Amino acid sequence: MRKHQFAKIDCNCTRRATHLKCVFCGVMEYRSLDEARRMTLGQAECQHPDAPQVPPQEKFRAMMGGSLDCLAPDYDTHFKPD
Amino acid sequence: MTQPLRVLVAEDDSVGAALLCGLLVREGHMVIGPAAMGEEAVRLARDERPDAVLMDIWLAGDMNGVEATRAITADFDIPVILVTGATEATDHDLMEQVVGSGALGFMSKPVTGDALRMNLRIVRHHTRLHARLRDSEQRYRSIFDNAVVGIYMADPEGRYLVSNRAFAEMLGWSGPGDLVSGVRSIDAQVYEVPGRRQELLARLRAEGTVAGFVSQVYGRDGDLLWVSEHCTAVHDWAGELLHYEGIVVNVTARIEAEQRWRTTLGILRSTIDAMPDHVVLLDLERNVIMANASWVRQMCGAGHPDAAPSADMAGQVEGAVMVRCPECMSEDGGPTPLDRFLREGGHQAGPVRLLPGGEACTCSVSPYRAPEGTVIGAVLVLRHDGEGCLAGSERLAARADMTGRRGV
Ligand SMILES: [Zn+2]
Ligand SMILES: [Zn+2]
Repeated sequence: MRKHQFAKIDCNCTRRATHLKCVFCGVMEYRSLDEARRMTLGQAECQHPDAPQVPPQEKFRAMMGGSLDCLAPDYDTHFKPD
Repeated sequence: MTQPLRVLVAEDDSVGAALLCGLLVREGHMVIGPAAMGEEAVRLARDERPDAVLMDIWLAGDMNGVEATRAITADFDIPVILVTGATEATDHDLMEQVVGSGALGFMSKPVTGDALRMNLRIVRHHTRLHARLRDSEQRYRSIFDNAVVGIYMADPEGRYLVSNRAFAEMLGWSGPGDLVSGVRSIDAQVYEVPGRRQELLARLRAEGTVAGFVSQVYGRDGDLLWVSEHCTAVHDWAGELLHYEGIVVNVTARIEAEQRWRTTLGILRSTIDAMPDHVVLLDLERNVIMANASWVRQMCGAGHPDAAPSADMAGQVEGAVMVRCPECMSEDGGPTPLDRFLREGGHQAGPVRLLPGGEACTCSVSPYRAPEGTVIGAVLVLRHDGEGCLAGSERLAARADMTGRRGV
């Protein structure tokens, strides 16, 4: 199983809020950073072949009630120009 | 039409007093007094609480107008307008005293209606401004007093200057005043670890703010509690640390829960590590999720870093060995108990030989379930049992089955 890697992106809509977008598959999520750090298995799964594999232990813990960290390491800067 | 003011007149010269009172009445104001002596003016200000005071510099009695002004502005916060003769207005020393007295305005004799109106407008403006200030001050005061988090201000020498109720009560004092006077040395009376406050001060001097500073502190009754502090340094113009402000949360319950959790985890960890059998938890793709010390020694050799038990129990669980497991073959070359489990589920057991080395073991596999009931892995127990390996697989299966298993 692979997981999304979310990074901050400024939305084009009138609210001009900050949203999260997966670096690989491009899916948009209207969630806080903290929510991206604690996703369920269902929310976390990414279909993109380049997305990182979930380490077996992280996946196992998620099945036991834990959560998956889906924040990209460069979440703050990834979609920023420059 | 503006609200009439209640004005106290202090003037020892009866002609001057009558003139001032007449002007005030003509403008629609109420007159209190006149008082001829400074002491009398202060007493009337205290008892009558006028909106403003018109005060002559020279009064009868021991207290002159400047001294009476100082007392009235400091004690009752009532605006005072000083009145003086034309010649005195040119006296520099006297004017210095007038400026320092706290008087709001200044008029020279003879007082005209225009000068009086102008000064009383200043009084009204000042009163409105003051009321607004007092209002917001009270609002902040109320936030400070009613906050559930502790708030304090302390000096670098180690005394509390200000505290709110929550902080005083957190440390077991009956109130802020009690805490401020009772704690003569924060270093000695509050922090458990010597030098802990000096550590905080050093970081405040270097970084300006310190967040999440967790320490053990003593309550007044000697109880130890855990607090987390968020501190901000306040510097003077030269950059010297004047004092610092702290926001404090009692985190004793959280820290104790963490300690209990670590202890429980430690007991579980030591229990599976004490077993001579190799015990390993696998997911359904044969990845090792967790293993005991015996298994780690067997699979990785004693020199492997994972084989050395780490002091941090949580870290051991986090860093469980990542190998696909188990490299073994069944005695008859057919599917191993794990193979059968992954194909059919249920409890499986049978003799195996561990690779490399070919050590003979009895392998028993039990399903491992998520809280909602789905099987998400397997617990393997590998027992050194030379005799068992030779015995019939059916009898072994029954023996090694977790439900029917007897003690060693
Ligand atoms: Zn994705
Ligand atoms: Zn938007």
